[in-house]
Amino acid sequence: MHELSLVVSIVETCENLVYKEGGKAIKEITLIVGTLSGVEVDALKFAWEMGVKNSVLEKANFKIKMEKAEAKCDSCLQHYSPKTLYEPCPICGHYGSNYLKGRELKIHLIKMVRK
Amino acid sequence: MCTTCGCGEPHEHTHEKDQELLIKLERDVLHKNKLIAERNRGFFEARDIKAINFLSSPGSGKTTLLEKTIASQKNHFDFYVIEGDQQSSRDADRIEKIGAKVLQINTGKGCHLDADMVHKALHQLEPPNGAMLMIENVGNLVCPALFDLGEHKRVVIMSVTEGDDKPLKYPDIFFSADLCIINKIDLLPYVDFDITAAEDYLHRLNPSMEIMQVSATTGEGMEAWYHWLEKESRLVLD
Repeated sequence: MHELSLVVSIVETCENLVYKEGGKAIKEITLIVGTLSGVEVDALKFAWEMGVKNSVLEKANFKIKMEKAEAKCDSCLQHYSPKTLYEPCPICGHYGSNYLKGRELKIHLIKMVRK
Repeated sequence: MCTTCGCGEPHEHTHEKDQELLIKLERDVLHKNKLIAERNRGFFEARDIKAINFLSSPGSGKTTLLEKTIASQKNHFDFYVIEGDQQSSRDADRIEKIGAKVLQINTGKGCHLDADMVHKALHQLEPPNGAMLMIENVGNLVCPALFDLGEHKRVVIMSVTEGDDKPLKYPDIFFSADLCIINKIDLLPYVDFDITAAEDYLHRLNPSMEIMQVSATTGEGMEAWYHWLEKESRLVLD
């Protein structure tokens, strides 16, 4: 359950941000999660409920934006959208592509309430 | 009565609306871990330390492989070991017996090591210039994949008593590794493990991955592994 560690890390970032900006709480947070980021969204939501208790995120509206993976074949330079990390290029069958999108896991937007 | 809102309350409440601030943060969730990992990496480089992160499922023979490696190569390398386990110091005790400096990290309920745990461990262990630091991560093929510790190389160990399709079931960890050691090959005659298939799966995920077949118990294939360590340690010193 590394998802709980991820939530703890998000809480830490938000606590710092609220402190720095003189805010009260976070009203809404949007994460971007790549489809090949290694994060299980259901596990993340489950961990979220436990992880944000008694923090500035406790009442925040939690949104996840999935980012579809995009790869570029190393061999024929074709762009395609793999569903796994071991999907060959659909044109030339080559394995081992460059992942341009879909590996990210980031805090995208934060809506903070200020006094 | 309050003349602003007509609420009938004594005027102790405020009519200033809470301001909303929209922040486009675009920050990696593991930002802090990555910063500390880079700090660890800088420390290693400054001291010419080679750091290797060992990953595997529980029971693949990580600790045995380390024991044999240290016992056989301790005259060539200055081994320092960080042992990550949820509980107990059993692995650290085993390593200490062979004569390497070792520090046990107990993660409690945690399922992986992170860069900060390693950072703190380094303060206690204090590996000197030129040391070979072996970090044995918590036995788990999922969680440790995401956490950079500042290591130079990631080595994932799988054993022939597991399924040969492990790489496809746990792609993240194999995707991020530089070397895969297939351990316990002395048991191949007794198990249904297709080593060619396993290697094929590994190369689908990671075409540049090096693969070694070893038996830490019988010593078969271990020379290639020692050679790899030798090559890696030279890369740092150059």
